[in-house]
Amino acid sequence: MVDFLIGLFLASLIVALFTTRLNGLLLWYAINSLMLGLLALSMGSSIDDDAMILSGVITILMKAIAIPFFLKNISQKFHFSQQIVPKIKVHYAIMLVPVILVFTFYLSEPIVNMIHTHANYMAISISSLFLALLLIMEHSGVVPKVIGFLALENSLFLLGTTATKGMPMLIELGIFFDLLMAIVVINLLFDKEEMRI
Amino acid sequence: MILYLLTIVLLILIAPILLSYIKATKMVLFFKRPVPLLQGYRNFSKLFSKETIISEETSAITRYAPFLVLSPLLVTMFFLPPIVGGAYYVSFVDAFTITGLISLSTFFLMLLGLDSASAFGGMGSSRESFISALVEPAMILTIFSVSLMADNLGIGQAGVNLAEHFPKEHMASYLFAGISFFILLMAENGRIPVDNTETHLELTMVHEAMILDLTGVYLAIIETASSIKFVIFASLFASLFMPFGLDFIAPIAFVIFVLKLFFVATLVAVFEVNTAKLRIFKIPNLLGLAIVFAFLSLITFYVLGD
Amino acid sequence: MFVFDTLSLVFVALILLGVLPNLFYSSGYLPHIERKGYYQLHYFAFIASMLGVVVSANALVFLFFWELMSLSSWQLILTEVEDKSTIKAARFYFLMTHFGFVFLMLFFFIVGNGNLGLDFSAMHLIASEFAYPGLLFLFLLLGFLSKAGAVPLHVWLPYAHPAAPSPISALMSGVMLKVAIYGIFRFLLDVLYPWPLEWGILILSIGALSSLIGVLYALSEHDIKALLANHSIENIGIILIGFGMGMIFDSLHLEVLSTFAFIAALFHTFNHMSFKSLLFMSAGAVLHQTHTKNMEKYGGLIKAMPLTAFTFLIAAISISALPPSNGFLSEWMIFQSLLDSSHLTIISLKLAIPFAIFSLAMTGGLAIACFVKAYGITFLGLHRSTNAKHAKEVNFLMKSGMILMTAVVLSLMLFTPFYIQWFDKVFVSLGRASVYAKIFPDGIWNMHSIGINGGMVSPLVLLISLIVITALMLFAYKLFGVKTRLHKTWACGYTTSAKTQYSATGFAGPIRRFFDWLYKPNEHFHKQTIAEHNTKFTSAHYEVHIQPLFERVFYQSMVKLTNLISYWVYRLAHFGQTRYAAMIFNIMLLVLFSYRLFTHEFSWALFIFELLIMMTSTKILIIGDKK
Repeated sequence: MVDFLIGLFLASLIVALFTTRLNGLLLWYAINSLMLGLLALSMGSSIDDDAMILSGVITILMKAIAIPFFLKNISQKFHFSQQIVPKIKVHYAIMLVPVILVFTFYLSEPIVNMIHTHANYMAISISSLFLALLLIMEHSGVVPKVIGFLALENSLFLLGTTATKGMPMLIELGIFFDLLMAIVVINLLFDKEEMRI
Repeated sequence: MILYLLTIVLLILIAPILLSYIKATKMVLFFKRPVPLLQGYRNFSKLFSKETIISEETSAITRYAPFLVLSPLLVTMFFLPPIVGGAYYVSFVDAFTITGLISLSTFFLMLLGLDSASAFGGMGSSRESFISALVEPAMILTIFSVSLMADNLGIGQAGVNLAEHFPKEHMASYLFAGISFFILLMAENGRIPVDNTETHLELTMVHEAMILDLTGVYLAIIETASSIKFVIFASLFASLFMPFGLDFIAPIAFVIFVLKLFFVATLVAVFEVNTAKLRIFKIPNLLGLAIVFAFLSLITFYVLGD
Repeated sequence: MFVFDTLSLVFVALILLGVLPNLFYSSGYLPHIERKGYYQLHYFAFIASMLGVVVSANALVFLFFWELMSLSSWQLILTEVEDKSTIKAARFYFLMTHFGFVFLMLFFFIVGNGNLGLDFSAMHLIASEFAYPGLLFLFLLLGFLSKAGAVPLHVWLPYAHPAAPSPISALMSGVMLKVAIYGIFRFLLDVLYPWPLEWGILILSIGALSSLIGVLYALSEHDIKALLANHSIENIGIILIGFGMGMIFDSLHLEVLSTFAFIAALFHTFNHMSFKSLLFMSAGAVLHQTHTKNMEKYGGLIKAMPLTAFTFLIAAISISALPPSNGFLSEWMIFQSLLDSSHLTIISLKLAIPFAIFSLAMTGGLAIACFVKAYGITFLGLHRSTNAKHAKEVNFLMKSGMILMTAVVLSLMLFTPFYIQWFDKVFVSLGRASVYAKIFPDGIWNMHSIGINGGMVSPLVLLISLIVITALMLFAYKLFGVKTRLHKTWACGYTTSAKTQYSATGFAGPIRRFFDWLYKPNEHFHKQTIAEHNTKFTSAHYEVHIQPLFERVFYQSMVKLTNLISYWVYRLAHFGQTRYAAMIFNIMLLVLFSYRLFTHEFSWALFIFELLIMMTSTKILIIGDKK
């Protein structure tokens, strides 16, 4: 089950890389976060860790529902263009994504041997870290960049949960607050931008 | 053996119904009055009673190609995984052969398009060659990766193995293969993001442009071929990615399989309704995704498997 | 002096199979050639030299025949000099083939200990004692791959093969490249035998790269012979993938799998010989009738030349690896050997092999597109030029050459088990495991893969079922007695003409656009617009030309480098006496420094320090101020 969810997590991230629509990107981000939340729930229930279940629930509520809606509202409010064309052309992306994945599989091999978890988890979460960075790199717009940043956070969370069997609750909550702050700051910035115009 | 033959006959018979069903579902979703499910048969009988008009510019290719388009697909029907446990099946045919047979059919279809010297035919063939050049590698990789997960390169055996032992340890690769195969199913069968078989607008035509010059029996054969192609893909999807229901007794297993096929068809219809036709040069975005997932599936299996 | 073991005999058979139909074709082509004696002399010398290469048993004889082969084929390219480009192509060919020759000679000098008369069998000992086997392998690769046309030494191939007369193109592409493959088989298996894993991976990646690059450039070509020549690069790549897999398995001590992969490579070598010769013959027939190599001037030739069209179709199906052709069978074997590696645990293999699978799969898809283009534009539709309109079937001798070659293609498809049994003997005689009994365990009907859970294919059953089903449908159609009527092609009310058809450039358009980043095409677009309207024009002309990336980047930068060096040499020759003295000073410095550095003690700091001193003194004393 965890394997399946991790697969979906990576799949939604890759699809997000190829999306050219803002709403599509938000949708894929939401699915990505939903998978993460479900992953945390299923892992938490299997090892009976209440903190993990809680953070899973928070993830679903915040990242899969609240933040995408919020960003969608912002984008509608400020009439962002729906068309977000990646700066990296699709031909290169087709080659780049497998190369990144292969490369991370290669890199993470010694780490996998060091930590005794399932090989899949580590490798996929590290590669999703790289893919999220790629998502930030390939877009010039603000909202896609923000989503890239959020996806980066998601993959960090994944790395934490899979590598250490659950991050400490406190750190996870701290990251959530950071996120919240970031979103608020973004909103403030846009408001200010609008006032100046 | 009797079940094996029965399966093939069933699949051939259900093929036109499935396409009509997709059309009907889409019409329902558009709040139109749906076409009857037997519309495929009606078209077939109508076309069969017509005379054949052949273009003056054509050569022997047009006389023989329609049959050569259909026959590799019919041969492929014999190699599909079983739908009832205990039935006879051809266990050994691998992905490369099946893809090759489907490509053989496409090869003659493309020649058919170029034969009549019309601009439409050339356009259709050119686009189809573009699409199928991208589809073929993804399809080979996808099916190979699924059959590697099932511990047997033969597709028939792979289908049975999957039903007996689900590859839980390769769930991620399996999922990627599933996504990739679904995109291929849409692309190879001329479904909406790639091709639209319902219009005759030269901007969007791919499959229809190639066969624009055919009438009568030849057209009926090509239409049959495209419905059989859909049923091949749908049943591959059903056997490889929904591997259950084999161990019931024959009639129930048949019913379950038919339901699976209709489920795939519904999925396709819903997907079609919710997407717009892509511009021809945007299609690589979609197929590129399929290639990436197919490759990913194989490499995840290779690197992390065992 | 000569050796007649099974490997040599198999290649002798390959050459004979390629040459015999070609003899008919060539004598049919002869009236077309002005310098007949010259042509005949070189033609037979070429054939004899190829046979000589594969049976020679020592380095001297080998090199003699190798050089004879190069020179005679070089002269054959120059038989029909029509324009400057032919001479240029011949010069390029001459250069590249001698580039390879130098490395072969180096190889033989090392493995023969300076004695060129040494037998190959005696070389193994010397080679195994040599301290740097990697160097030997590199020489071997450069020597043979420059002849075989693998990336990045393939650039001469699309120029040289089309420039020759058609029978020669068929021989060069179909047979001569295989002689280079023979060299790889012979010297890797016999002389350099125990090889490290990396060599296999290197060959595998060269093969994967060649196959992709070959097919991509073939697709964008509109010169029909250059298209076929580019496909040779692709097929050599596929052969090398098989060979590389064999080497990898062998260095992992999986003997059965290794023999299987080698057999696959050898089988594909045969197949490529057959269908590529046939394609060049048919293309040559078309060229003979239409007097142009440009595909945009063909069209509708199937009506005038049905036999040529039919043979081309057979070969096209086979080269596109469509079942149940022989090309399909050998590619199937290569695929199986690639997939048999799924249980290996070495990480570099786990990464390299999926890439090879991917490139092989990609190649298959693109090859189909390419041959639909080649066949459809050449033979179908309406004729695009008057020459194409008045084309007739070629003469009897040329036709019989093509028919014989078709028979060879079909025999490779129908009698696969016998050929494989024979190839198996080659490897048994070289002291490897026998796999025939494992490939065909139950009769000749089913062909098995060697792997643990490998697939199976039954070529004859596939063929028979395809024929039977098609025949049944045709029979039913005839029985039905459907009324048939002839009418014009529907073209939205306009009349169909050659100009409304798709052209070769247009056909490959979408794919070319997708690979724009690789091709970087030169587009020439002229149109006569009416009254400054962009969309209204009386005439338009559109042409796309593509210069291969490798040639542009790799070779032209080489040319620039050579120019630079020759400029400095030139300046050196015109120095004053003081400069010469300064140079001697510098050289002394260099000798002393390097002696101190490399024999006494080595440290990076010292190295950099001395390098800096050297550079300063060179700058001040020799180069001086820029004028």
